[in-house]
Amino acid sequence: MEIERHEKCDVVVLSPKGNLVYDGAIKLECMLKVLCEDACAIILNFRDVKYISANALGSIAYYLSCFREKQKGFKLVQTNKNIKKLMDITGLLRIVEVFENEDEAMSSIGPRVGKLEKTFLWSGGN
Amino acid sequence: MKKKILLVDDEETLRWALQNTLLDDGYDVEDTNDSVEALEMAKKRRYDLVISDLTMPAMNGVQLIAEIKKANPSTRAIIMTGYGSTEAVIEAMHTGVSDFITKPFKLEHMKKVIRKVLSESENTGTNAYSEKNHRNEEPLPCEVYTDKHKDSSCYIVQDETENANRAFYDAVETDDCLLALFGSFSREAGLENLDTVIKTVFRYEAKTCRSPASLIENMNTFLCEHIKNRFPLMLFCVILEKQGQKLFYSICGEGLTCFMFSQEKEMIHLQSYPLFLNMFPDISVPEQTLPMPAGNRFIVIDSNAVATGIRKGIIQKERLRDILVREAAGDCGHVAKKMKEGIDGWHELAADARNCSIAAFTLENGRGRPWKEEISISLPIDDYDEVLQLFEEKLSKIVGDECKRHDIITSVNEAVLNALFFAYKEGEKGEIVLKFSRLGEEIIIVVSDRGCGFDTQNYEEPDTTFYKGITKKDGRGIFIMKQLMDRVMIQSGRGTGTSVFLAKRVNFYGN
Repeated sequence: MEIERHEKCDVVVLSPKGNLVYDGAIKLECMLKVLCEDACAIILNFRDVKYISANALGSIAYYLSCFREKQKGFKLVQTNKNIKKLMDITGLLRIVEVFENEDEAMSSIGPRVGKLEKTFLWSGGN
Repeated sequence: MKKKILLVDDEETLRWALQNTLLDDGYDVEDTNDSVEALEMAKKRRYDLVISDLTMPAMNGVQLIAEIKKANPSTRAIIMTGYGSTEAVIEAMHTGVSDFITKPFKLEHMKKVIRKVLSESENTGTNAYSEKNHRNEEPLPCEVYTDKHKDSSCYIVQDETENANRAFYDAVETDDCLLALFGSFSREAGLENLDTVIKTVFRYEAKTCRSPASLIENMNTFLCEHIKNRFPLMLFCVILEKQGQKLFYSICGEGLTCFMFSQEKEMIHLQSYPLFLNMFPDISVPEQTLPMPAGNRFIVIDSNAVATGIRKGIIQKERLRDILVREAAGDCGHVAKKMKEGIDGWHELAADARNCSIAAFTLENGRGRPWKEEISISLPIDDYDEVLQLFEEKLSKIVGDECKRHDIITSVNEAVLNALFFAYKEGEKGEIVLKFSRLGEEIIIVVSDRGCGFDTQNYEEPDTTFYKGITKKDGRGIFIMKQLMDRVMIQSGRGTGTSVFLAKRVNFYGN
């Protein structure tokens, strides 16, 4: 089980290739642990994931809350209907956003705006 | 108000699973693993229902119930027991146990039994059930009849009047045979759960017996030895040998009129014998043989009036055949109902015929060819994706619905991971055994570590928390299994290891 990683505008996109079960779940958890510190935002692309274990769902739920605490984005993309069902029955779907594709997820995260720019924008640009 | 249930069993996991299920269903449940403590609890607090294991160290389940009933006669009781404990079950019935359930049981079945027992106690006005109360109940109007047994292969329509017999049906499928049993006995026997006892003995005997005559003879001897009351019992046992499509049958009881109705609209009257069971042990039962073409249906009419009418030529068999021919396109339920309506309309039998039961069953519908498969997964596992692929390969040939297949594989996967994490140390050698089988319209999977890798020294009690919080890690696997499957049961013991039982109703390929 491989987890591909690439970056788009400071956002890390992880694309697991295979099942997030047993060793796959452990691999994902390790990566999320590191990214929680390093990445500004994360997108998990589930296009090539068929099965997901309870343990992997637990890791996603846990690191989703960690990302939230640090006010970092955490989005899911292209989950199949069976995985969506599992996320629904465990309540995960209520707290995580799932998008059809990476672009939509990227747009939802939006541009990274610094404190200075924010002050500038909200002050009316003067 | 919530019904209060006390659960007594020394098997921790079973107690936990049952307690959580019942809590979910809105019962107020307390539990203990010690029968002596249970008695103390029952003396301090009045429980509506006590569910107890039969075999326990200090005081067995029957003794416990007897003691609790002395303190509080209104408490109802259910005994849980394994096969082969039928003698104790009959003893339990005499001590006022309302029902019993054999292990391993389906949680849905247990819930049904609990609902039945508690609703019976409500129906009697108080919790105190007595023979007198039961008899003083207003009899139901004769026109009302209820469906006592419904599944795809059998349907029984019977009167609920006081004088009507109690009819029951059971079927067992083995590798080489299909066995069915129809029985009937007088309600005056006063034994509330006799049908369940008979079914238990039948299922026990069906494991080894391939002759309906011997099966009935063995059951008769057993019942004579263990039931105190003597009252007539009628049984129709039929065994279909799958390989040769040969049918063996025995019918004990003159009141049973049995027919086999073929797809070619031919009706064969199956001979019954004037032998009543539960009267004398060691009787000899005759047996008949017939070829059995596919698609045949059995009709059993439990009525002395009809049987006598046919014997004396007052009723022409053609009248019954006409109904069967007319309604042949319908399912078993339709045929049984129409047959009942037809008989109810025969004026010459009006008075007696209303105390009759009609059963229509087939030995084929809903029961396809048996499917059993065993897979062994060797530990340590190098590539878990191969394991998932193996599950896919096995199930894609059996289960039609892709979503249900995914649900099953996800659940089986959780059970395997559970065995991996609880039973074996990391990297340790061992095996996890999976048994897949078909039971009627359900797929049954048992995932077991067989105790071979059970780490007794470092063993911790399995997780007993239901998954509640989204970020909470423990219990999520069990929660998922329970959501995706129709029934889940986990059994764990230091000697035997852990087994997870899973069941789900599916559409099998080829149905």
